[in-house]
Amino acid sequence: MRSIAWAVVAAAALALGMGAWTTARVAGPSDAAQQIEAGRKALEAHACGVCHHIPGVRGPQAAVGPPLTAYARRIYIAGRLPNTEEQLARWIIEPGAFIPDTAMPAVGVSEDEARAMAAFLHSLR
Amino acid sequence: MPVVRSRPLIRRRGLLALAGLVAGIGLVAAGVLYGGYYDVAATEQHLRPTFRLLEIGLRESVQRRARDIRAPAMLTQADVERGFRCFQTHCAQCHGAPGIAPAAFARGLLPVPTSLSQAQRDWRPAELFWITKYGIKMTAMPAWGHRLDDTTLWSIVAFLERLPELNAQDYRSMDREAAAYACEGPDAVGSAGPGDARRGKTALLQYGCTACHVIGGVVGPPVHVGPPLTGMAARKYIAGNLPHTQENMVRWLLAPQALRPGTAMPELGLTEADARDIAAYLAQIE
Repeated sequence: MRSIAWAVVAAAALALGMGAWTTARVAGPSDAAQQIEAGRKALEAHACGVCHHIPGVRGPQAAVGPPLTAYARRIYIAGRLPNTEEQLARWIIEPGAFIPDTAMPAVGVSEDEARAMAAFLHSLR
Repeated sequence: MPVVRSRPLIRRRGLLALAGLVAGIGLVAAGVLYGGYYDVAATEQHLRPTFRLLEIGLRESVQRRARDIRAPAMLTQADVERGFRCFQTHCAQCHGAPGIAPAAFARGLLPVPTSLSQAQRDWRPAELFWITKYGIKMTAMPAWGHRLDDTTLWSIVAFLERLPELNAQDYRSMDREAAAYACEGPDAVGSAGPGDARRGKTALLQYGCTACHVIGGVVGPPVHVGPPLTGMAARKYIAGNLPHTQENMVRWLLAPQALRPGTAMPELGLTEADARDIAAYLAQIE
């Protein structure tokens, strides 16, 4: 009798777990995941890979500028700016505003795109 | 018949038991490691057997490596006085001196930096030279070989040989006697010319480069304060806008604050030869 009771409990737990999992799947990627994916696309659209090696982003993976691997762990942007998503977005839009003679160009990234790019880069651990 | 068959059976059982034992020990070790049970606190001394083992390893390793080092023939009073100045500048903070306590930070170290008044009894001059030049892994003893030349290192050994004869008052009065000397590093350590990548790989550890950068081909902590120095062989620009040439890398390593005021990259006091060797190593990281 006891073993039957346990089996019922286990089955119920399994069903609940499956239910929760399916619900999560059906709800689709969260806003954060969408933002990260938009960032990846924007990085490809603006050909950031022409100068930087960026994991997960298609492109020539060149080494004109530093590699952006594990960017979420980076402490500074460009050797001096604190690496927050907010700051990173502003840097991407207008690098020259922070370091006038940097080789990094402003490539006409919109604010939304820059935020998404920053979200993507901050997902690289 | 049963006697003949039982022999390999016993052997097989023995092997099984051995394998089980090894697996068991491995499992316990993994449990201790990943369970966080090993105490890394510097307030907890090693167990006595561990301590003994480390001491033996230290002694034997230094003895072997210093075996072929020959001390210079004569160490003069001038050497002793020059050595005193270096000792006072670079050693006494951690090791203390007659009548002078080690600095507060040094008293929190494990292993504790021992009084060098006893060094001359425990080690031959060549061994003291070796320890000072190369440092000791997993202790706070740094390698001085990239900061002081061999002549200076020998003068420190000369002073250590004299140290047990000095009381607190003698030590204080040496400060006046050695007034003519300063402890200065060399500018000539390292190779001249195009730069020696192999030497550069060693040298970069001596400037703490891995404290901020992940560096291709170098074992180090996963820190991302500065950008990872991977794929440098293909790198076109450094420091934001300098073309990646050896000359520019040397300039950058020698004077980052002058080239880019406000950068987090500090001036590390590299010798030009070290900078050239390090640049050569960096340039070949795939």
